[in-house]
Amino acid sequence: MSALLLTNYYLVYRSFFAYAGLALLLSMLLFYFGNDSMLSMVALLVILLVSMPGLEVIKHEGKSGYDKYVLTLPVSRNQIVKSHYFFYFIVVVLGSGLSYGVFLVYNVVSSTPVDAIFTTVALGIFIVLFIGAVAYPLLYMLGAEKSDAILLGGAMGGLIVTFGLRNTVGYIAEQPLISNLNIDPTLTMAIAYTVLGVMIYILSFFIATFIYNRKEF
Amino acid sequence: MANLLEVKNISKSFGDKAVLKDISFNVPAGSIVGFIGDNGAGKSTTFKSVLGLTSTDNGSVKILGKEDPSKHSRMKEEIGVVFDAMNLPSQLTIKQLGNVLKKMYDSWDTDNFNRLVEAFSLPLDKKVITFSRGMSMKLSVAIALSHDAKLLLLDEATGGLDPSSRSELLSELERFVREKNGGILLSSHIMSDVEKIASHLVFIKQGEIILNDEIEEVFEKYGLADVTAHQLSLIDEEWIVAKKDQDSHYRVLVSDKEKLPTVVKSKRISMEELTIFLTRSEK
Repeated sequence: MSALLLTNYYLVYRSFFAYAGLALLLSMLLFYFGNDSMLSMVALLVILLVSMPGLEVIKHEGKSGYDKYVLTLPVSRNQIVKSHYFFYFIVVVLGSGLSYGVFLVYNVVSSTPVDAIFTTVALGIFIVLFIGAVAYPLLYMLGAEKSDAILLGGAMGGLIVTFGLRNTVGYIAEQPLISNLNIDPTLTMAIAYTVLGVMIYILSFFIATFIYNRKEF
Repeated sequence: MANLLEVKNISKSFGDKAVLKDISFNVPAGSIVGFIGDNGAGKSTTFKSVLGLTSTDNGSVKILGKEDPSKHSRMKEEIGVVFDAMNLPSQLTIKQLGNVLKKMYDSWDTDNFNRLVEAFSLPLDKKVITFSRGMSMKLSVAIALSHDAKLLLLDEATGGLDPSSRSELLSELERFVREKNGGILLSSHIMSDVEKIASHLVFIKQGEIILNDEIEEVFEKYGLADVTAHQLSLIDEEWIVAKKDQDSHYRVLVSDKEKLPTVVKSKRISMEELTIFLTRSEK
């Protein structure tokens, strides 16, 4: 699978670094010019921008016809799906790390540090994992040429579901079983969002594998 | 002689349209099988069926003795494939592609890959997206020949190449068969290429195999002749490969010219004539 991951990296590393640079620049501008209410946007923006190139892999593969050619190489269809999901997950982890790092630096240099960084970053993680979970099965089913619409739909869906789940996740975090653990409530929320995001992403992987194994080229 | 590829009774339909009708042929070791047919005859669907990229309704495919190659992913180490369009990851350079393939194939031969890249005059540091169709085809062939494959499946691999590059590529293919006792299934519209290197011919028309024989047999034993309706009736159906109504007479291709009525003289037939006749005739 390392060969497939390396191909994915070569396909999008330029976009990845360009988006990461853009994310840093926008964060600085928002920190400098924006008010407090815009700070949580920074976390989402960084994770979203850094993660997007991960989903562009399938678009590049489809455009060049490599999605067909790769099936003639000594790899299984399962490995191909695994490589897409794993690569995107790595990119999400990097985006989260960068987002968290941006806030840490801001807290060091700013006179008004931001609280609940974990929750803000976890919201971002949930949204991008949800986008991936929606996008991959649809990309395999409808084809890479529909990727822009699929990504847009996934992003909208991610935002709606995230804010829709806010009360539910808050309710779970307030349950005696969890609240009695004496963990910081913001941390509980962060963990709940991340775990939920990962679970949806894993479920999506199995659905996508099922679809891809039956796909005709 | 063992068969590297065995295609047996494959059928495939898209809705009501049958695109492959019970087709069977083999690619023996040490042979180059020219796979010929018009656009839409079913060549690419055959390639896809062989590779498991598309499902079949009936029949079986055995590659190197194993059925259902798509389930034996490591077995694909021994198959080299070139499709009829550019299919390599467009954002990668040849150098990067070499790094990937080195990890992909256990038997990747970097020296041979570099030799072929140089022989085909391909630039190492340019992205594949900037390549012409011909350059992309040459790169695909270089890859197919660099991992100790036993069987090559080449769909229009010589298309888009200039004569000198085509000649170079054909020499590499002949070398592969000679030195490794490999087998090649080569589809092409360039009949001179097929005539030059093929040892076997398989003609496909509207999803049906209409001719499947060794090339020497075809040019030595087969005969094309103009006959009257009465003379045609004297030829056993078994020997008729194809015939065409020419208004005043029939033109007929038989698989053994000795089976023609004694008064009928058969003509020598070129590869080009054979192809045109087969694609325009009826059984």
